[in-house]
Amino acid sequence: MSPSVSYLRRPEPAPAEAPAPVALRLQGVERSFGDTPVLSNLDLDIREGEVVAIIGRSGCGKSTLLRLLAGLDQANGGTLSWRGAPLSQRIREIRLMFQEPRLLPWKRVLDNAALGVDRQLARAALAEVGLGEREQDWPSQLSGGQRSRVALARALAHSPQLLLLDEPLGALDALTRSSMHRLIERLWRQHGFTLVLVTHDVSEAVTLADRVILLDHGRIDLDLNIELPRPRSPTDPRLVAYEAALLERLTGEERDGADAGASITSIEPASIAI
Amino acid sequence: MASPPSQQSRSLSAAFELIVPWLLPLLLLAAWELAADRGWLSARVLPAPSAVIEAGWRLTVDGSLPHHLWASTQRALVGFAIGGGLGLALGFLTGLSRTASQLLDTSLQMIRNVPHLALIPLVILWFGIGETAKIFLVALGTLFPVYLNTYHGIRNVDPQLIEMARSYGLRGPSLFWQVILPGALPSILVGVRFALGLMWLTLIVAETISATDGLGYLAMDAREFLQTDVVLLSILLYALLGKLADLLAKSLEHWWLRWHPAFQSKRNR
Repeated sequence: MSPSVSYLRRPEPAPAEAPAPVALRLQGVERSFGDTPVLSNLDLDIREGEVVAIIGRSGCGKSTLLRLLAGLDQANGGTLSWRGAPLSQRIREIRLMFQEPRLLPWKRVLDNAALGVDRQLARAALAEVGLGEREQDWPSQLSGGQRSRVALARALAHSPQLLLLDEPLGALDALTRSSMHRLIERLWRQHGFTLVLVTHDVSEAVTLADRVILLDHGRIDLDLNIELPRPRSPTDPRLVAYEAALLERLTGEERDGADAGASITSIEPASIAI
Repeated sequence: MASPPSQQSRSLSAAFELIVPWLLPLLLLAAWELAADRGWLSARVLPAPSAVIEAGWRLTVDGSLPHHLWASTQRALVGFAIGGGLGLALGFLTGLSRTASQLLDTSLQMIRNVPHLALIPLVILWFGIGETAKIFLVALGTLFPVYLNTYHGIRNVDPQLIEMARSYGLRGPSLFWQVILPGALPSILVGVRFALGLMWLTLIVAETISATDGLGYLAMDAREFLQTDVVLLSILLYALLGKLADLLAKSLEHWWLRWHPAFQSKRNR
């Protein structure tokens, strides 16, 4: 990374010199519903402060994986640990932002953000997402993007160490989405939490993530580092190249079955630099 | 509205909205008065509204109307408090616990399907014709609408919201007060409004069968002496009391459900 953009990083030692310790470790995780295996023998390590995007086609198990990480579902086998302890013991450090905002319509914005925490913390979190002025409004008075931001503030108020996002921006228009991307990136830099994001949007994945993991039939098909400085421009040709390669991998599977594109195990940034 | 209405026209239209529901009753009343005045209607069949008001005044002055009114209101409120409270408690129990719902719901549904007024002979055998019988009937009449709507209200709380609240650390009482009860409240209030209607209905029947005071007694007593004006008066009073109870329930709805888009006035939006 060039020095000119170093201020954009979190105030932590650059991971290039001393890699951050592994925070989240999944070993041999299995999950099946009836006879249908959804996740099979999944191993995954995620480092402290890393942003990981999990992509894949519908039914690839990405949402199931996120629900396991959030403690909303239990694995049939394998172990999940967070900072050395079983995940379930430290679930308070983990917060999930759902696919829908899931605001309580009978609580004002402030009380929604203060769910399970002190109002002072909620007030600070609302200010961070730029909704300090709307704390006395009802959720029904907010736009879709504002509701998502309240949901984000609600998660932030708990000071999560691991923040999970389950396609939280799927229902938003393109403009609101990209401003949400900038907001999420800014909050990640300020708070330094580990971020795991499930998305079906490849461009969202490469914009936000340090690492993109492609799930296919419950297995990790591709684990790709996105080595681009932040903030990333959606028009950056390298980013576009990453996106194209990932898309090809995704659609290639659809076309020719699981074997197509199997030779690609990583995409060298050098090969796509223009 | 295409153009933003001025302050004046807005208050005018508000006043209009307030008057419209009362136009038809007022018109009917005027026609009735006219018909009685011209002798088209015999006073034995339908005395003029003025005569009804006169009877009301007479009975108020001699103190019997306030006495009967209070007797009825007391029965209504005590019966509703017992029946509604029991319905609410049972609804919470079966709504929150699957075991309780399996144990109780079928029995409650069976009892619900017996028209409670059909129990009058039995109730008289049990309790005689005293206060207990009337309060029992009112309680029975109001129990089921509140029970059913509480049960369904709780069962229909969005499971996604409950899942979210659990994952944000809410458990037990705080989950109930912050998520389940407010989520079930719209449905519970519908039950309360139904129950209030049934409360008056049950009371009038109970009071016409056996009572020494109350509005139903007033009407039955007046019938024996062919005082059609007093009979009409007590019927009108029932209508008014029913409307009053409904208004009360509506204002509770407006306050408790003020978060609901359907209950937000245009000014607040």
